[in-house]
Amino acid sequence: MNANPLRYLLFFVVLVLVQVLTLNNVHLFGYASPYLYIWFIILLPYATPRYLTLFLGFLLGAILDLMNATPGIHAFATTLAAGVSILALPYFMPHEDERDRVHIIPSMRSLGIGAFVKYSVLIVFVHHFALYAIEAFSFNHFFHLFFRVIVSTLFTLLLILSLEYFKMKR
Amino acid sequence: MRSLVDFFIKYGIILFFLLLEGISFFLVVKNNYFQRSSFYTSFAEVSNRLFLIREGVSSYFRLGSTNEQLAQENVELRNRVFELQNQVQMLKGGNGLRTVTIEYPQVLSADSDSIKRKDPKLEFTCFSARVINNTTGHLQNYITLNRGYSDGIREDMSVISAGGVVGVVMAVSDHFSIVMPVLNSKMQVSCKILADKKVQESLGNIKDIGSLVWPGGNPEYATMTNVPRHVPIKKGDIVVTSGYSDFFPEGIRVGSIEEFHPAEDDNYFDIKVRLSVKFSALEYVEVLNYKNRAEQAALEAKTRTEEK
Repeated sequence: MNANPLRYLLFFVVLVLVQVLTLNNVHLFGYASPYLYIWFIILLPYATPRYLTLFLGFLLGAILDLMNATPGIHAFATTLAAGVSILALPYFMPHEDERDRVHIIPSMRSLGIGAFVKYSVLIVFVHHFALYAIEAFSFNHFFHLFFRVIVSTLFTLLLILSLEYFKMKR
Repeated sequence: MRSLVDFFIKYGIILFFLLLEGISFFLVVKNNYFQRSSFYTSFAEVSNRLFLIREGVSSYFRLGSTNEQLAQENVELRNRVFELQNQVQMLKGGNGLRTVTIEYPQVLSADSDSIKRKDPKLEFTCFSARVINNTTGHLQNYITLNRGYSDGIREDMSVISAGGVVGVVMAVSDHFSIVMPVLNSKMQVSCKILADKKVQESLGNIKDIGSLVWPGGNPEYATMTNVPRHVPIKKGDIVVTSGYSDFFPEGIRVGSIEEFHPAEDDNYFDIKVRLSVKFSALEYVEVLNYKNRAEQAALEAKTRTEEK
């Protein structure tokens, strides 16, 4: 994907539709769902203004909340994930100087497979953990919660990484 | 002043982050107001049209099981008709068994015409509706129906399906309504256990009322609490609504007892109930309008304020 804002807008809309119309109805083992829409945050270019990253994260979550009738839960988790992505992305970048970095859009090719996988694991885990924790609003059944987070995270990662892999091979 | 500007340049992004998280957190805490807000309902009109299209497509793939469900319901209804016909026959004395005259409780109004009255707790009217969006994977699940205010649906109406209790209408827009189902950790249904007739007769009328809540997780099971330990229950006993709340009529099926054990450190049972409604495959529901709710609620509220 290139950094064309229109393509990102289209990507945003498609991800929301796919999430709301199909993936929300998938419940692995009865309660673990994939949240593919977080892929959008992972793919934001390094050069995206930080305020915009946060705002897009919030907007994405807020729209999911409106569609799911789950007030604030998705918005909280995606904003947090967007915040973490701002802080973490530089550490996963290949060592080049700042002028080259500006053009980087996270993908398996630009970051390298290893770094991209690690970056995705971090973002997806942070997002899913926040999502499930704030939904439960307690740590009472911590292991149950944790199990849901892990299964969901693996599920989402499987989708993102396989799609990314196809993108790279194409 | 200069330092204030510097502060915002330096920490603005953090403040912005905290602002967005604050807004989200506020919405989470103010949960119930969200669904009732006009902003939400107008947005929901748009997204629900989307769900309606999806439902139109996917309902074709479920025609087989839907037919089966309808056929089964037909059989049940026909049986019920026979049963009622038999009762009518019996009461008429048509088969020579016995003659009984039914007496409704008579109410004499001031202008002296006596009216035959039905039991006010049984005056329900019914709307049918289709489920167009439904979640079971969250802790707070909601169901969207394709009927709304213009079809006569109002807040707090009860929703049932062929299988039994579904939930309560919590928000209504012009063409859609949102139901808080049993599969929502905030939902509580007042229930009772239908014990064996023999047991019931030998022990007299036992008050075995409890409340049903859903602890999250598996959408097939819920938990019933507040049933005293002296109540004789066994696996497979049927759980129905008690009719004590002003939402559901009495005797609507909720599920059956799967297992039970004494709750920790008190005198009640913890009962695991297998829900009779299969929420993950819910398609057609009926919305019940309890005609005398406003009257009952007003009277109860009045009594409560007078007592204070």
